[in-house]
Amino acid sequence: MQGVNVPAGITASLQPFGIYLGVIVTFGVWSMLYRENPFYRICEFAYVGSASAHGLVTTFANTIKPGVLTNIIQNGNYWEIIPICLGCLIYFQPFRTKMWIARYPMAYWVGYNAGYALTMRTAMPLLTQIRQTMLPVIVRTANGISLVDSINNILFSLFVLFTMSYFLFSMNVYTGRYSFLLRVARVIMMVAFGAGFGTGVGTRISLLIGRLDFLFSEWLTLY
Amino acid sequence: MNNSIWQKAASIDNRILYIIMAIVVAVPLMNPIGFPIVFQQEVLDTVELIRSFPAGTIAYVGAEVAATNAAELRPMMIAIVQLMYELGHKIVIGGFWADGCSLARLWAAPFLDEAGAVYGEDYVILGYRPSSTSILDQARTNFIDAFSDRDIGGLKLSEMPVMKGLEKASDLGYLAIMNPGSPGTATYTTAWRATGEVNVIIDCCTSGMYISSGNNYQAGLTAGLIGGLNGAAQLEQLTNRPYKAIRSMDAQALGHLAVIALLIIGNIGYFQTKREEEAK
Repeated sequence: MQGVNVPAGITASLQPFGIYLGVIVTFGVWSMLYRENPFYRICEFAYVGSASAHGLVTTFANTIKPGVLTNIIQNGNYWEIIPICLGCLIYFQPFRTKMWIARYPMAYWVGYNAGYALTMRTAMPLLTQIRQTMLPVIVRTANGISLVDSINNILFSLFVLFTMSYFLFSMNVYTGRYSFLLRVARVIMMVAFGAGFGTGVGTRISLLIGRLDFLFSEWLTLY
Repeated sequence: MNNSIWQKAASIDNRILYIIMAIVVAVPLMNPIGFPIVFQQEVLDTVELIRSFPAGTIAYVGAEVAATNAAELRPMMIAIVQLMYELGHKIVIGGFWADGCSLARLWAAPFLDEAGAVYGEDYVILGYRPSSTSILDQARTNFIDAFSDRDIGGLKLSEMPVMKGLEKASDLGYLAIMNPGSPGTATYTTAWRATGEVNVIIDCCTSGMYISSGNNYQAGLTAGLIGGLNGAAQLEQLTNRPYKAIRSMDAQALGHLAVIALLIIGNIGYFQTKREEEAK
């Protein structure tokens, strides 16, 4: 592949070093499962440090450098110096007496994102999902009525209503004989949270698979 | 005697559980059992959807990945770019996670190169950019300017044949977004789908994101869904390119079974212990 900054020879010669480093850090992080220890702390801090450094370098190389070289010098978009200066104001943050200056770029950024969020584009996914909850309770097909789909839609609509009404704090409708509805809503939510937890467990197992695959295939070359 | 066993079951040391899980996952990873892969309709539909685009279509791959998602999203990304290249689609890989594009270069590029794809002609990696919101917004009107006319290695995008015909986001045929969280599919949905630039978004999510991605898919916000390691394995099988996902499926299945078994044992132990205490 072209366009890679590091020559292929150097990358290839560093590969075994990278694999051994990966193995050491993997075991370092896993050592936490036994108990808290300095080895784990070193690996943790090294990760945080290298991730920060990587983010800084890639941001400079991919954004600031081409932004200045291409947009300003090459294309003559000198107005882009203004946002750069605005961005630089954030570095007043560490100086206590001049800290207020750092609030200007932050205010601009928050304002931009607030304006963006208030447009239709953010509402559209929500509205689409709301529309999708309005399902026909009797599903008609070419062969008549689909009983399974109808029951599915009825249950879905009921579950939506129960769950929504659980968060109806302005008036207490679930008292006395209707209090069971509150419990039904709670069960529905617990089932949903359980499904979420289940997928979370799946992700954690995938993390373990990823690390073990690295150890077996790249370090031990078992397959 | 039985009572003491259940009491022990309810309070197994975490470290023993970790060892059990490691063994249960490691053994099938080294020696796959070969459980059958059951295809989901959504994955079948998604592959058909990708195949429905003609050769020359420009596809955007959102490399919203980190090293932690490697087990699920690496085989998924590799399988999907291989399918795209096989179909003659031009591939533009971008990402807003700091490691995303670098990992795409490590994961996908070798497979594309091996298949004969030429960098700059058949595919390009844009490189990491912070601030997905403003860049995706700018890309609606000028795609190359939004990425400062530079790829991940500093080469000019405007001089690459793969970028011919890609002036703005609406020139993209479809998006396939690796989705481990935010930025992810939702970012592209609000930036390009809600504004009508791109109508076809394929959500390639981790298993942790599967529920919210499933909601979006059912609501019609996304046109395709490939979820987790299971989805990646199905994709590998459907494209006849078995790689890490198919191999890892047995490990994941047994891992899940082990978790369920341990949950059952732990719960029985808990209730049995409670009953014993009440009896006393």
